Amino acid sequence: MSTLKVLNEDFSSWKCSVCNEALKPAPVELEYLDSVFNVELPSCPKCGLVLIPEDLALGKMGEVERLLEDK
Amino acid sequence: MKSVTYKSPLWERSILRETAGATLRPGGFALTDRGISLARIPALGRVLDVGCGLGATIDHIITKYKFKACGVDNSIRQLTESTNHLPLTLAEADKLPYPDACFDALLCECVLSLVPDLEQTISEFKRTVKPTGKFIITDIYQRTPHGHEIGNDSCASSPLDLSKLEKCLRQNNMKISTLEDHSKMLAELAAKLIFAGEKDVRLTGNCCSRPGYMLLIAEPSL
Repeated sequence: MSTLKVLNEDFSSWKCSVCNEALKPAPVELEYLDSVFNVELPSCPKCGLVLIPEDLALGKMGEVERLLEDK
Repeated sequence: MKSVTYKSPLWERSILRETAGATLRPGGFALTDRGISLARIPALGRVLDVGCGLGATIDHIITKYKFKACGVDNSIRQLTESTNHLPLTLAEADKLPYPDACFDALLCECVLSLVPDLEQTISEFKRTVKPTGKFIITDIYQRTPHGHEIGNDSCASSPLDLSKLEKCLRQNNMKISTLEDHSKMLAELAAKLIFAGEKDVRLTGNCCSRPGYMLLIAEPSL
């Protein structure tokens, strides 16, 4: 399954607060109500911490959740 | 003077290929495979894919099942972008360029909801299949009767009315042997389109039309 690019902004200036590593785009599995989506999100290359920007959480992710809940 | 920007239909835009893959429809090859297994098409059978798009399904069923498969589509653009070696022809679903009774099965995936004349199309399907021939149809359908059109530019804008389709099938001595709901696949594709940035994804919010996705097999009535 291909990985969807869900963010247009550059988050490379962000650093992991635990490892102090710059975040890099990485494939991440988002799971909701038995559906799985492969997306690309900024992640810490050392510990794997994933950043979900507020705009994404309240925007596309919120819209997808509503759609899947109503399916 | 106002300028008008032409927006290609969803199935001709790269965003659908990026989210749905080369099949350009919910369910992909998994739903096609289920339809083929339920239809019990004879070995080396002749299969026509109506609305074949890029021809991905033709390639799949020739490779996987060794069917003698060919396809038609009314989009020059789609056919131009298809793999060259595939037997694809430019034609409308209701004017198929084939003689009577030459196919064991006819595939029509995410296309029937877009044809302008359902009755003529089903009649043409019946003409081209053998007396034992079957239809494998996957498409968007109205889960509630008498739904309104949604008004975007995909097949979601005109979900099939199952009672009308069943009537057309009956008029052509065909009956529904399998009807399965696969609406989750439609919702998942819509979700991928949202993630990919498509602005006009509306499967809900309509007062009485909540489109679903179905697999239907039709076979000759006894």
